[in-house]
Amino acid sequence: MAALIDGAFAEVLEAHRDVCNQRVAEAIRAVPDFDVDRWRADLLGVVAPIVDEVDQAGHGFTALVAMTLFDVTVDLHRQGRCTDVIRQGWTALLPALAEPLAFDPPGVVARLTNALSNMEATPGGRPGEWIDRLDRVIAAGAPIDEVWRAGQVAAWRCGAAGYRPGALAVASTLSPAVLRAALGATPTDLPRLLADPWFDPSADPGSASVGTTDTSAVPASVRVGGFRGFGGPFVAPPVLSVEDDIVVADDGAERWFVLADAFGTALVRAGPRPGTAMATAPGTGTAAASGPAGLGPPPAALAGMAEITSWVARPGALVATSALSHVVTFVRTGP
Amino acid sequence: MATRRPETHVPAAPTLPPPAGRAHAAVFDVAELYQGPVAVAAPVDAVPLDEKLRQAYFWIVNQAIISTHYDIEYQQGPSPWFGFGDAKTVVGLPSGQSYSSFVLLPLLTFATRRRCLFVGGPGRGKTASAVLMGVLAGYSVRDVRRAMQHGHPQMTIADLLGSPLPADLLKAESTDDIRIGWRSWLSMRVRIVDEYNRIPTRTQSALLTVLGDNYAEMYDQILECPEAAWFLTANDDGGGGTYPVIEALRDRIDVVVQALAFNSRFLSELVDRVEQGYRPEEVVPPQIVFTPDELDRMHDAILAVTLPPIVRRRLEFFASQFEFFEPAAVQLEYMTKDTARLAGVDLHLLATAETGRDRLADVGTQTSNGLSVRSLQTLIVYAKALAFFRGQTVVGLEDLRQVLPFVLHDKLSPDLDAPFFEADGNQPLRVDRIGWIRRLFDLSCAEYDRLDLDHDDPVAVMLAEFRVGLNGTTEAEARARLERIERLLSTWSAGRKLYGPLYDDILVLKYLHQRYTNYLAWLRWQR
Repeated sequence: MAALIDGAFAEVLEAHRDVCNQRVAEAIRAVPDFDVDRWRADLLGVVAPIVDEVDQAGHGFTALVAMTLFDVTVDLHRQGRCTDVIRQGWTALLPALAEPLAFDPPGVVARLTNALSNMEATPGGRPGEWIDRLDRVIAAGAPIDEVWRAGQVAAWRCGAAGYRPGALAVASTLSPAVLRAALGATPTDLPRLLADPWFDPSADPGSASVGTTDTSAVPASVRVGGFRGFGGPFVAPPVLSVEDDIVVADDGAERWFVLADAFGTALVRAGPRPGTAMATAPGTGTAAASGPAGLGPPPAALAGMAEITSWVARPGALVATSALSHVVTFVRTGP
Repeated sequence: MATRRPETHVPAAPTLPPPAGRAHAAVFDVAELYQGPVAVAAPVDAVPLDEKLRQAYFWIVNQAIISTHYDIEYQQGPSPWFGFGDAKTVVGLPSGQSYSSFVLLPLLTFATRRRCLFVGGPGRGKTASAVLMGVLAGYSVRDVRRAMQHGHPQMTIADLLGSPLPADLLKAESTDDIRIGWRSWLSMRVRIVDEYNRIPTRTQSALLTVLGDNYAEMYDQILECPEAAWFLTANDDGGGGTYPVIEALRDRIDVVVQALAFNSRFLSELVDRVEQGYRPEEVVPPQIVFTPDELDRMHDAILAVTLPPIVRRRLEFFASQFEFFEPAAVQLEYMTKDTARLAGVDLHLLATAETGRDRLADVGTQTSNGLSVRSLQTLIVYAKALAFFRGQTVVGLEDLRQVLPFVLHDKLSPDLDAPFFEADGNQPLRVDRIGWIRRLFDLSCAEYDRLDLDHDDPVAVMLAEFRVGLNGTTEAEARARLERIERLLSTWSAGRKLYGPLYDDILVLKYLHQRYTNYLAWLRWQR
């Protein structure tokens, strides 16, 4: 016999029985493959414990929290988006956010769920690490608005490289304890973080991968992209240019913004070229001058790459492409 | 099995994507971390009101009312068209975002607090559409249904407005002492009258007071009603139990919307609704419900939309075509169709006296009346509303062209004996009122272009000169202006046939002449 929901959540469901039944009926009608059993399991295994913890925290509004979670669970299942990452994030973080959750259930649940979903969808994103960092932020006693800002910084720290500029701007508004939890940095690290994308200030000596302020733990080179046939974005070896201080890779079919730093990489589809000519044609074997590097043969640091088609100098790295590869290579050159 | 979209899904913004590309800086907005599959409760004004109105439109047209008709067509670039049948019926595929009049016009009425009449056969969704508008205003379905007034032949004024309190009637020594138990629907911001052509004539007069002047009166007691959007329905007269609608009440209707036929290919939607007992008015998403404050602000924002001079001039030219009727009088000011109507004389009897004008080219011959001030004001409001709905701050010519047929549907009466309707291909326009009015406007715009009035309009120049004001105008300048007016009239009188636009211009010149003459007399008196 299936386990039953009990406790505070059961009381709320009983009091709102008609409304709950109608919403589920609508969902089943709208989405014929709505998995009722899976949804029910989430209600029992994920939502009910959260509601009980919120109830025990004593801030009130248990019914409002419960109905919000109920509605969002139905909605996520209707969209087929109730993933293990969301379950893990809700279980780990919502009880810790009991007070702000009680006062703004839709806002807290929506923001947290959307962030988890975005972290999971980000190529190279590390949602599990993001959940851990946010847990530490909450434990540091941050008020809810600071938690959200810290979440943005932590998202960058956990692989969403496209957020770097915005996250660095937000990081300066965090208290030292929250900054340490979200980023593993102190306020004095921020200027260097701004200047050197390859600086990792994580202050956890016990960590094997990012345990020191020494950037030697960061890989010497990072490869971004790949052939579309193998799951990457490029149909042909791309060629680089720089627009508004961002590296752009063009494979002849599409253009992509390319970012990489100590914490992750990002490829974002760019719009049409804004009227400027290509620095060089792909595959010609001639190195193109772009960005601040100026004209001339590729630097010695790129000597190991064959048939370079384009290269640009960026803070802390040289970025290059080759006629023999569908990736964009970042080669670290030091601060 | 195909997955259907959930009924409570509100279309995601932007519902009218801007043509320009996304700003580069927005690509890496860290705030997007918290946007995703779950809607964050938006703070007040996070969604602009025009976007909210569009979301409401698309929810209704995609989830609530099964309307497959995109009869309000906008083009954004080339659009293919095809001819069908022996009559080569033209079917165009609009290249811009287009709309269903049956949903859009009631929504614009809701936003502008005007009066909309739904017409069409029974069971076509007229009442259901009106109820949806009530729900969008924040009322519960139950309240909307209970407040709806159902026309019937025994309906009295008391049924419509309310009754005096019986105790007061007994005790009162004057009418001032009588309190009225007013009906609650009078204080609502959306008022629905179902089958208004089944209300007896006497009660129609009471309805007219509320609908036209926004107050109710009984036993000398006055109830001032708040501004509201009105939705009235009418079945065809062949069903019986109907009364002629008094002209004053009919004239207060701002826009007429026809319930178009149901497309049988969407029968599966009806099957689902029957099986599930689904009623769209009961599942309206809260995100598209408007608060009273939002309604007020939206109304103000609509009125603030600019009607640019180049659009206004075309409307002026169009409106000037219809009133003039030379055989109706000997004095210029009375040469109108209204003069003939008031005299009870058939226009056709008088029209035989006309000579010289091209009755096929003159669009004024196609109508038996002109446009009233009220209808012109309504036209301006709806054009602004449509521009607002499309996210514009300025009314475009196409916005005006699209709303014009629905606003003038019952305001402009066709003269079915006019030669225009005998011409090849024009016979259906005797019946297709929307098509006919749109064709009228197109013909008027073509004539406007032929006369090059955007560049050669001496009356507009003189009017602009006058509107600056007379303060500081010298006697010499006033005389010079008088001379220019007289010279222009002399030129026109030499060769031009007298059509509607010229008639209006002559009256304006006469008006200006009179104003300058009075001003000269004042200047001389001052000396």
